[in-house]
Amino acid sequence: MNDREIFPVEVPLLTEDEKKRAVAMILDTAMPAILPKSAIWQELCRTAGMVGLRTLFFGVGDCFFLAALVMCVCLFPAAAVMAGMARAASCLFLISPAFYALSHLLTLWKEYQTRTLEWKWTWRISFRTILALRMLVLGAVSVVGSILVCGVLWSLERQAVSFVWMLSVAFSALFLYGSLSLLGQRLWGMRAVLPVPLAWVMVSLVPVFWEPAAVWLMQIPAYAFLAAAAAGAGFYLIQMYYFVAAGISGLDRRLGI
Amino acid sequence: MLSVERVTKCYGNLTALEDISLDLAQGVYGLLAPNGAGKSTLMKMLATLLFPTKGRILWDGEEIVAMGERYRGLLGYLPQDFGYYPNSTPRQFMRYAAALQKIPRAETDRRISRLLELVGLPDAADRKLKRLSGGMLQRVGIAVAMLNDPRLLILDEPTAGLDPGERVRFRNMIHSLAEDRIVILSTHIVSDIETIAGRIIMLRDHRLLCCDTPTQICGRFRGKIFQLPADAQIRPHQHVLSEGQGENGTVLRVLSEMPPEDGVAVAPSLEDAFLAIYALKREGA
Repeated sequence: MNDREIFPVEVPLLTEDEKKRAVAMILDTAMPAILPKSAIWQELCRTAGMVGLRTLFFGVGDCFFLAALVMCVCLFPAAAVMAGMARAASCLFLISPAFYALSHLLTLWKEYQTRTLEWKWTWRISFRTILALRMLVLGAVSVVGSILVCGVLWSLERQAVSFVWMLSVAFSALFLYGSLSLLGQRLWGMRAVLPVPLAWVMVSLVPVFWEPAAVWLMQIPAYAFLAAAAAGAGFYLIQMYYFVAAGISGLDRRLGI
Repeated sequence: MLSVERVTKCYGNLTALEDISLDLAQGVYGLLAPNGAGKSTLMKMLATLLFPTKGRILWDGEEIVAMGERYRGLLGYLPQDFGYYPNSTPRQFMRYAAALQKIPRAETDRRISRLLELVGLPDAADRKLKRLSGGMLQRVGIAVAMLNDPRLLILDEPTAGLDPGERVRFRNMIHSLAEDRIVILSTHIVSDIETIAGRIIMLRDHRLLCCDTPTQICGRFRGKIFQLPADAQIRPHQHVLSEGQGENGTVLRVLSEMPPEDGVAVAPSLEDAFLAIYALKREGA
């Protein structure tokens, strides 16, 4: 006689629902769902339409005023001085992403100071999605701002440099900075929020204070900067997709909070 | 049903929680433990703010992390020390929270009015948050946590900083909220939960000690809690739990296996049980 005959055991069988749930859990763990890109962008658009700009920037509106103030008070006069010294490219590299970087930093700082982050992480619309939408809006505002700044600096340079060239420099700086900032946040969370802009400022100051670098920058043709801008914009959108996808799929890793 | 399956949480070499398993159905659960025992860690894991190092947490059989937005849609969470925008009013802040909770705009104002009525703040709806007292802010917090009519309500130390009157009002409110949902509230103040919690979850040494009704927990110490005059001599096998005022002056409540001289047996309260459990732990029992 074997053990089963001596100790007959009734093995309870799983119900259909339990079987399906068990299979779904195994599959989710082994092969996490990768959402199609179109679904992510549709979700972003849907969320943007649902919340509106007012909700998106609720409580942090003063941060943009402060960022704009810093731009006007500190950066534009400095840019005007530098432009007179024919260092337009150096100025643009520093100034183009400045409003984006300052606004992003200040809004995150304010969210941290008001201690609302912990709450927001538990609400239906992922805070990552809100951050993503904010960054996209800031990017759009910065693109418009870059055109205005280029116009001002072009006038100050007495049109000695091509406007298209200045615009290509500005856009390449903006998109490269944006994609590096986003990549840093994806990889290192909140820890990357300060180091990336600091590193950018340090690198941007090199051509400001070192003549050979400034000269070299001025010699790069517009199409090279345009290619860098296009690559930066593409990389930014790819990073944005992965940034948002993590929040929507439920595999969100908190930004180091 | 919310299931916690063998959850462990470590921060480097420090184990905050070890091998916690719970099954929670509808009702009020009080999470009771001293400071630093892991209450907030457990609450944060239930709210998906932290992730277990080992084990998993399931809602109706599905992992809450994988559920993502669906789980957050049925969750209402009140952090221990929540923030707000001081210059906004309760109505503005709740509209903001409602938008982020995907509550339809047509429904939002009606829900806000009803919730502010429920928490006793209909007249403060348009006052700036920075002008509200601690108790009023806490009530706004509860209203925000209730915006999406959650199936699971997690309140982390919700009565911290409230005066006795506000704590009584809070307890009454929780009674009315718990009818058809799971409510988990954490505290180290026993009186806050002993009358409203159907079950008490106690943690000790980062592990689950028990998940029982207050009656069952107190029952473990029946016949072992005595009241002595303050000047009574305390023997080595007796543990002083607390001191209070009796009819004839200060009295001590003491845990003792044997009835002490001059001691009067008293019915053990949840506070006695809480103090006894942690007193025994400190003395290595």
